[in-house]
Amino acid sequence: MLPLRKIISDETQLRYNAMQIDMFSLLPEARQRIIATIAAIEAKRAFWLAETDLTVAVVGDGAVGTASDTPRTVAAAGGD
Amino acid sequence: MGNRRWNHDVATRISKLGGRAHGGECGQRPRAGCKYSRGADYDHHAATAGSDQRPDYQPVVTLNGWTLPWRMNGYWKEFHLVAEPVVREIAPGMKAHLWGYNGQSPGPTIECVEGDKVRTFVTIKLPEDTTIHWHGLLLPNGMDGVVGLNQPPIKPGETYVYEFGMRKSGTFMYHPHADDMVQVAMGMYGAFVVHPRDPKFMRVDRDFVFAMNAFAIDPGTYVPRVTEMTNFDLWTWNSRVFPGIDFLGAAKGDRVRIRMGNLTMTAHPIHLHGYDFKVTLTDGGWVPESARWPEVTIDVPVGAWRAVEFVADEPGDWVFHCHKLHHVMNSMGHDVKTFIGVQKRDLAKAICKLVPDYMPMGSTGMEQMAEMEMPLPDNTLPMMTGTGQFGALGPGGMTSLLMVREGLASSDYKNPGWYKYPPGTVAYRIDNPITVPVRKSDATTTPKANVEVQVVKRGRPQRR
Repeated sequence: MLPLRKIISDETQLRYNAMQIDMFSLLPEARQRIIATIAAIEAKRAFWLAETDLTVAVVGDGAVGTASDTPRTVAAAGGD
Repeated sequence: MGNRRWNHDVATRISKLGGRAHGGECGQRPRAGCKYSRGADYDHHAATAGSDQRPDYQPVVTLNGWTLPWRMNGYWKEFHLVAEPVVREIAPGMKAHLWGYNGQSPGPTIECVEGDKVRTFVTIKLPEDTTIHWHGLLLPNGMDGVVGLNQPPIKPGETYVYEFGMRKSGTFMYHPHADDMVQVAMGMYGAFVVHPRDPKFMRVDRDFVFAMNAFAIDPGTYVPRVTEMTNFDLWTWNSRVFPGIDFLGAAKGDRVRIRMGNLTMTAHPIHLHGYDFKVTLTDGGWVPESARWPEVTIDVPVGAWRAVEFVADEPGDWVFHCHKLHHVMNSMGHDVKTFIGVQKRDLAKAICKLVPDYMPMGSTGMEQMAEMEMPLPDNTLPMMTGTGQFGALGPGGMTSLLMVREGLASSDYKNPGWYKYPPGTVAYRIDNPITVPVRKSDATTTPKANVEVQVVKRGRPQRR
């Protein structure tokens, strides 16, 4: 879980324990947490794709060079 | 200091009276050995032991508080109040950042005698202007302390002097009358007790005093929300809540007086178990004997004092509390839904997948709050708390105990420990009741399965 989101989740749970809030506040918090987690996964995916694109751009995608020179890059680029 | 005569042994303690604050120091009670404290934090009074001078009155005992020492200067009895920021433990586990006097919220109790000429120095160590209003006291208009009207504001760092004679005995209070809403919400108030000139008049054996105040302090925070008008979560006596409020100890046969003032924004019906009492004093004066009627609960209006008296003739641990039952709770949410009668077993499983630490609460009431200890947010108190000799107690807020015991020494105000019940005097369980309880003939204890709700809808206006 994301560190900031974890703080919010933990504090929400503590407030529930203290009967400051009820479960109808816990559930939206859980939803927010899930949305944040999905957004984090999406962001990580976008990062890896972008980094791969960058590597390809820097090293070359093998189309101009010989394929045998950069097998790793080709494999990574193939994932796009 | 010239030929000033000092009150008992406080001279050395407050020799800085002329300039420096003596806030934060211990207070003296003007009576040898009169010790009243439960926690180490409030063990103020030991220093008076050995004092040889006793005043000609029964000194009051301020719950979780103290009486301000004074000195005699000619015919004047001189006190020195210092308004300053303080840290107050509301109950073990929670501290509030308040404003108070001489190191504490509430300020120390001022005690004097009818006919005394009282001079009070007031030094301001707050970040803003203030004044002191002497609530209920009969005095010259220029001493009444309303900022802008009766006097200029006392600015930070300044010291003002109030001088007036005590025209009558009774229970009064002092509080600011400059930015009053904020300053009282921050904890600035104190009791002012004037004893009768005739020491035999209305004499009691134990005389307790406290004022009520309310704070709105969100979990995890330390400073009260000063703009709050209704939704308070800490209903305090002398800025303390149960189980942090001193117990009221009395020996069997003692005549007991309890003086109660109200600085909150709602009335408090204060109820004492096991006794009936009479209201003998308001801040307007003593109630003539012919006008006193018996009560078990007395409503203390906003901005007023009541004093009740009774003879502590029935030993035991008697609860003493505000009967507005939201006021015998500590911090809690007031928008929490009611789940009584709602089965949450299946729901709980589903929610636990999303919120692993979820535990369904409230389906059978809220008593489990008193029995369970769960991790709470920082700097807050469980809404119900405390443990007695039979298990979880459950109250909070404006709750204390009257503890009446045989043979308690007159100077003994320590917590005597839970009452030891004589055998056979406690309610007990019986497994085979011999009688069948009579019930109302058409009693309905569960909703009928075939309840049909008929909804009659009004015809909607036709659109044309």
